Amino acid sequence: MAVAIGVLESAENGPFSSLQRLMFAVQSKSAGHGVGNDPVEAGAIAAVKGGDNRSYDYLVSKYMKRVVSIAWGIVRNAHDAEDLAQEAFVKAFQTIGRFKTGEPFGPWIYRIVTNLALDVVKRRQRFRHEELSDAQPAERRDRADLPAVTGELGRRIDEAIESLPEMQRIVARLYLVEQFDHAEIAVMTGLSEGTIRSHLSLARGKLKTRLADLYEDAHE
Amino acid sequence: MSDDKLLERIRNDARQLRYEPKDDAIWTRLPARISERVQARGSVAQLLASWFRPIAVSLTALALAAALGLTWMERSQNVLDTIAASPIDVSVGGDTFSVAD
Repeated sequence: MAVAIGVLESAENGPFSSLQRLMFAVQSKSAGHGVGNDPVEAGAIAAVKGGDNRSYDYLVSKYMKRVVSIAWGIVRNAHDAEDLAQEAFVKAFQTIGRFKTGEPFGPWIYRIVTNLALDVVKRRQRFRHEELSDAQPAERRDRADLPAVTGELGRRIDEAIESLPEMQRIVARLYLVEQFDHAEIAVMTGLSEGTIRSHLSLARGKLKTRLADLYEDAHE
Repeated sequence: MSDDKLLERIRNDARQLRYEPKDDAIWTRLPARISERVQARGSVAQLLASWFRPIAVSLTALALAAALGLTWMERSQNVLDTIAASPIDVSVGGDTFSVAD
């Protein structure tokens, strides 16, 4: 706890001090999805609620990479993803008074950014005069920002996921790429866990067909 | 292989597809923008407070002055009423004059 207080105090010297970065690196490695017990995070949330805006920098630095990745996976556009991440963090800050003390910040910010990204997808669909239906495959996929390390296997999987109908694509991406479980995706998207399983089941059938040559033993 | 195992294999391979921007500057630009907006909200509150505080002080001073003025006027009226109630007659050259008049 003494370390936690030290980190929070260091925030007053300016955002993202080296100590904060070090703490973030340690937390990122130990916390998995970042929702484990983190006294620094709890302290930062309490400080922000108490009016210390600078403590919010810690939460931003801890979750921003994941938040941007989630946004990009849904909207597939680098600029939109950055804007969405920014909006999500500002919105979370504005409503932090409603945030339950003791709860992990991760699921909350993930849900906010997912909802904002889904709104963008819906707006795009309305703009194209398309009905909100899973019958239409997603369009306009930005592959320019795929990780450089992605090889042929990654490219094929990405193409297969992106060829799925919209909600199957989003759910598949959150499950396969972002590694969230069914319950987490249900909370993030506002859908029931049963609906998530249904989307995944449909997606799995299509992926099985489209990636048959890569996973040949899948037909055994 | 069961469908669940297939999905888990794809999941394992798909992990590498997490977004990693080529432009690393995003990781300094994004928190800076968020921090700016978050701090701005604090600044707005401070700005409003800096305006409201002197206005509140001025209004208080005006109210105090008005209250003191009314009290003084009431007292003055009372003095006049007292004088009017007990007029002083002054005689000069056989004529009588009243101060209350």
